[in-house]
Amino acid sequence: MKIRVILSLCLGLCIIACGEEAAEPGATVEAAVTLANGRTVAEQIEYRKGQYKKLGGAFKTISDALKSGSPDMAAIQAAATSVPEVTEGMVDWFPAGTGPESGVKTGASAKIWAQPDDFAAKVTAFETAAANLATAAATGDIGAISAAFGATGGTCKGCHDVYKTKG
Amino acid sequence: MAEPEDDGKVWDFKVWDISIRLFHWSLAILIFLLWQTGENGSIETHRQLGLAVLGLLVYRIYWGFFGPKTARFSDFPIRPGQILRYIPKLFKQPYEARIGHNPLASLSIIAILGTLCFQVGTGLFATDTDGLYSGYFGHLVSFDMGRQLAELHEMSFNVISALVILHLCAIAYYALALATDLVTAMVTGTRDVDAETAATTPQATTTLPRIGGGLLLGGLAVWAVLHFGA
Repeated sequence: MKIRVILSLCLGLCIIACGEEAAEPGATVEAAVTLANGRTVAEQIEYRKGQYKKLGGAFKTISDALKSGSPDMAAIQAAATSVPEVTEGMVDWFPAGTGPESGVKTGASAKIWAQPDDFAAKVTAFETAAANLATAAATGDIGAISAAFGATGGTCKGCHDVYKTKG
Repeated sequence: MAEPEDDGKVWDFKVWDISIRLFHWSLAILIFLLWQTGENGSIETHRQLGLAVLGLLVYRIYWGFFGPKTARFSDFPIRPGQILRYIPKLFKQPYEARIGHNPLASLSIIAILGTLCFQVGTGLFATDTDGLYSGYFGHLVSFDMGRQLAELHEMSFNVISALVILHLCAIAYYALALATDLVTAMVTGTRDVDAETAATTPQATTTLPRIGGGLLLGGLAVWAVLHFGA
């Protein structure tokens, strides 16, 4: 009996989870508009989500490695090198029309387009920190890598606090 | 066994032992703090408080088997017939509270404990959106998996909120509609019980070694996460 209640609770949660997923692809008119780069609005949003996922994956690799007793230096270096590549041209990932008004599920706040200069400055701060992280990783010095990683993470948070919503 | 007073009731009859009351109020405080730290992104504190909940859950599950009668899962009257027979009592005065959990309270405990286990389980492996912070075992899963677990973690918090609100509404209902105060007994551990029931029901007493056994198990779970996790 108890087990059945717990199981049905878990099942309920899964159903809620699936419901959220199914509602994700935006089917609005705005979502189908083609942008200057040839992608539709929906495709552009999906593209940048994909890039941020790769970035998150790289960050998790570094974070996991730094927390472990014997960090895998090769993994850290590969991840750190991938960050500037994955995030190339980040400021251009947000063309006009790809905000929440598109009807496509996105965590990008409308403030990105309201304060473009400040947003661009925060992206640049990230890019500078990420370049430093790649340089630090190349030296193989754990202390330097930790410091550079912390600084880069700070620029993620600095931007997300203002420009990222729950989506 | 206390003698009945003039009103034919035994006062200060022990219904909730000290450890279940401490469990209850610590959990209430922790859930509130976990909600706050989860919302404002104090992840390190959130992780540690979550670990404390793990310890409490292990203790409570142990207590469901080795605690006094009122704490035991075997004392939960949750057979369908018991539940059906209980429901009409919710609409009749005077309401006579059972010693221990009533059928609906028992279901509520199972739902809350089950959801909290799910919450701790997903939290241990969850990762934040930047891949910067993870639960103690987050390094064992991929970023994608960690993110999905974080989303489940966030969604099941809604279930916890709903259960907490239901719990508070139920307490208000018992107080207002059934003139039954449930809160005082959860603070003092005791309430008035009529002499007849008191004579046939054991009080919720326990011993230090029993409590010690639970503390050891709960502590062991916390230690294991800290030792094997990152």
